Amino acid sequence: MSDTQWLPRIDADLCNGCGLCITECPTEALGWKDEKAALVHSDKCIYCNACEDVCPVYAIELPYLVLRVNKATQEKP
Amino acid sequence: MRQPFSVVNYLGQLGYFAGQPPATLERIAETAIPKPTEAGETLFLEGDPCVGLWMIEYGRVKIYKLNPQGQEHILRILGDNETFNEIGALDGGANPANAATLSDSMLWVLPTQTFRELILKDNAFAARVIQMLARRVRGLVSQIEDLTLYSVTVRVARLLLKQVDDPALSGTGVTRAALAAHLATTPQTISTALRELETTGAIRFDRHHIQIVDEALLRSIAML
Ligand code: SF4
Ligand code: SF4
Repeated sequence: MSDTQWLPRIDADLCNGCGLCITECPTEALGWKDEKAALVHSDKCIYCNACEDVCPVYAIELPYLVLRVNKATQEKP
Repeated sequence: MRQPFSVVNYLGQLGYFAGQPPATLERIAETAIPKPTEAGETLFLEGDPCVGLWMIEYGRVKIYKLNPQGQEHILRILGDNETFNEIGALDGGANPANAATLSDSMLWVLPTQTFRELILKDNAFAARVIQMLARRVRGLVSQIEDLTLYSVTVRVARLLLKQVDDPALSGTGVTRAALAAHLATTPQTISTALRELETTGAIRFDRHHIQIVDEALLRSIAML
């Protein structure tokens, strides 16, 4: 799996160009590309979810990986 | 010392009767039936026809249900100046639950008939009753929303446990939209459920990881 997998995904077909996500992004990771929102500075993204929350057309998705953290106290083998 | 109880004053404080001229209140109050009761008396049973609106001058009343095994489940405990059984009083239907006194009490019943006549005769009164009922319905809707969220939280907890044991399921990662589609709800509800789970300390967000930090807790939330 490449690292770029774990970045916000923006569906340009769904995006209506309202710009809310760009305004909302706290780190200026988002910008414009062909009048659609795009992740222009992926290194800046802190995965805060603000863009996904604000998008009115559900054009943005943040994928998550579910995993266990091993606690020293965990009893299971 | 306890102030002498005046049914008229009491009625005037109830939302329904606000703005009624004193003479009307007086007439309404005259129909109220005094019910002095001792501790432990049953006032009415679930399913019996409702006799009217109950008012507590002083005392303690429990509203309760019995499960099929006869165990008591208390819904509400009411005290001085409170009323109960409004809905039954309005529609004259059956009592939705049982009521009994917990202490020696002075109660009053405003008969269903009084309500009926007022609704027919007095538009302003009818409008206030509608308002009161509307507020109740709103309250119920938000209760249902709470219950829905509750069940979503339970189901999200289950899905997370399933995902973690079967990485193939994750594939390109879980998204809230995918969870929402899977659970037939909205991404916003999923967000709220995930936040709830995070607040309990069962999971933690770390960048693109949803970490299960307390699996036993997550399992108990998932009711597994
Ligand atoms: S997740 Fe947060 S930081 Fe990353 S692009 Fe969206 S709003 Fe910006
Ligand atoms: S909020 Fe959604 S629709 Fe608006 S610009 Fe961003 S991705 Fe496009």
